[in-house]
Amino acid sequence: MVLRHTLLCLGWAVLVMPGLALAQPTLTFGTEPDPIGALECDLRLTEVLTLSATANEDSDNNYVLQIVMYTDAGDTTDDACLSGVSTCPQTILNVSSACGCIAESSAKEPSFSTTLNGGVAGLNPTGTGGVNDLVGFLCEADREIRFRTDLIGVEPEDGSLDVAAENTSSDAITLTIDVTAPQAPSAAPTVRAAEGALVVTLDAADRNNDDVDSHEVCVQAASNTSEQNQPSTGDGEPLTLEELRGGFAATSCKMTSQLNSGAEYRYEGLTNDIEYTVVVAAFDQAGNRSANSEAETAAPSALLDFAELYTARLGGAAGETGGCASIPANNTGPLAVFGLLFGFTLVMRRSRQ
Amino acid sequence: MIRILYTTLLLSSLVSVATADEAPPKYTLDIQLGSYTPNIDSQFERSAGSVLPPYESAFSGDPSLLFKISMQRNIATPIGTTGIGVSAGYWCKEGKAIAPTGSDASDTTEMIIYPFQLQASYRVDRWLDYVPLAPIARVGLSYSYWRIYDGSDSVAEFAPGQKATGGTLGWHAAVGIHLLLDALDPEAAIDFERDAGLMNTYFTIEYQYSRVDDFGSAESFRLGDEVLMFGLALDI
Repeated sequence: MVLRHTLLCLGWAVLVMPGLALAQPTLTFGTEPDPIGALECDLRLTEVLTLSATANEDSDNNYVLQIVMYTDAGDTTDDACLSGVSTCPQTILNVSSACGCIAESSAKEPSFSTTLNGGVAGLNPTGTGGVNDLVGFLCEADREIRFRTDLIGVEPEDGSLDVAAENTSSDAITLTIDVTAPQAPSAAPTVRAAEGALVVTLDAADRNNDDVDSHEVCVQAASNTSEQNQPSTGDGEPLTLEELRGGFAATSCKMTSQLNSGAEYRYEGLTNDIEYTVVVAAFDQAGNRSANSEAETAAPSALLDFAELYTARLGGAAGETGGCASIPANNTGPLAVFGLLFGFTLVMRRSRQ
Repeated sequence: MIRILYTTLLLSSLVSVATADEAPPKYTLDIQLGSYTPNIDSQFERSAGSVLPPYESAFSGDPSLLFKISMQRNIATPIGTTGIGVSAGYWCKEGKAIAPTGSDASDTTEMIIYPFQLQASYRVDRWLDYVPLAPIARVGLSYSYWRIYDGSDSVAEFAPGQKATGGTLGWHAAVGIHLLLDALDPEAAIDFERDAGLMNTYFTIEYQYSRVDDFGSAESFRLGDEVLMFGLALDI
């Protein structure tokens, strides 16, 4: 009797428990956000942010899902700062180490998505300074905002909530805030003069930099470039791109991702025999710009490519000028070769017959 | 007497081979490489103290590798295989633009040629069972489409409005020898034929002479050359 009862219990456990042995839910951004840089941090953190959570279970069950956010440097397994507030969404109590439940599935479905209309700022923290204080805190240093989905439980047909036996959470996804600018190139760029162009390369020590996503090459006539091509010291606020470019106009600067790999970058559209000043700055993936490199000067010059050289060497004599083949009218050479090939074809046809 | 008997046997075997009703491969695919220098500078006179001609100035007169692939349709003819086919190739050479004013500016310039050929060929291959060598001769029409680029990878100009791109006609002839590789590993050759349909595989050496100058036009590039081409030929 005892054995039978035990077997029945075991059978029930095998049949019913899988419903509570909840699979790990997943969480995705609607659009994976790029790292956020210093200049656009305030703006980007108040952009719309869409998050989608899925329980990855069959649709017969109704699930209670929560999306949790951590804005401190701690990891998402530390739930200490979540304690004390039982509602969701909850108010973030401590801006400087903020975390909280930001959304809960209201329809109790296997998946749901939520949109933070005001971005991170829309979480409405209650710390001193409110929203501005939260955004200011987030943008003052490199940090990561992590999001996680918690599967709280399963709601059977009777409407009661079976709380998950264990805290089943998704892998965390991260929104990176990178407010540190990359290092400026350590040496002046190498500049080779070409025709109507300057060809720029970086010193070997400044290539293959993991923190650099692209470079900005600024070229301006030396006569128009002010001596100040390095930014002035700031007042604590991030320097604007204009300030970082020093005396170079935005229109004189072009972006390239070629220099970091050691390839040449060709800056076109210049006038021959005019001296230009060239500087290079590094950009990271978050859009932070370094200061300018040391400057180099060079002057484009007229050059003869092979076509121009050929024409010059002809010295006015007849020669190739491009276009399709132009056979002299009285030349019978092509007919002779065609005749030969035609004869071959006839031989082949006769042999086949 | 014995000598006469041997001679008779040899001749009869050759005749039997030559007249054998053995179907030749339908197609032959050739892949060839060779060192090619277009003869552009032959248009310019060299004399003591004169400036270097353009190809030598820009490209140091050096050759570059020519890659060519050709396909021909075959039929059997007495003691050999006659074919008619087409080929296409690629040749590219990068050089340096020249500064006329003595400045230290420098840049690249590039010439690309796509040679196309329509050709007939004759390969003496009836005795391959005894000697794995097949002499070959080819003759045909050539058409080379060419382009010249400046340092910014744009098509250069001979003069304002005259783009440095065009085509030049000519002819070519070639002689060579094809070494049958099947003899080196007969089992692999049989497997190749059964699995991939490759009847014969040859290592090829061919000397090719070409004159590609619009049949002597003074207003055309001279793109002919003498090239030793090496490659593989596959009978399909």
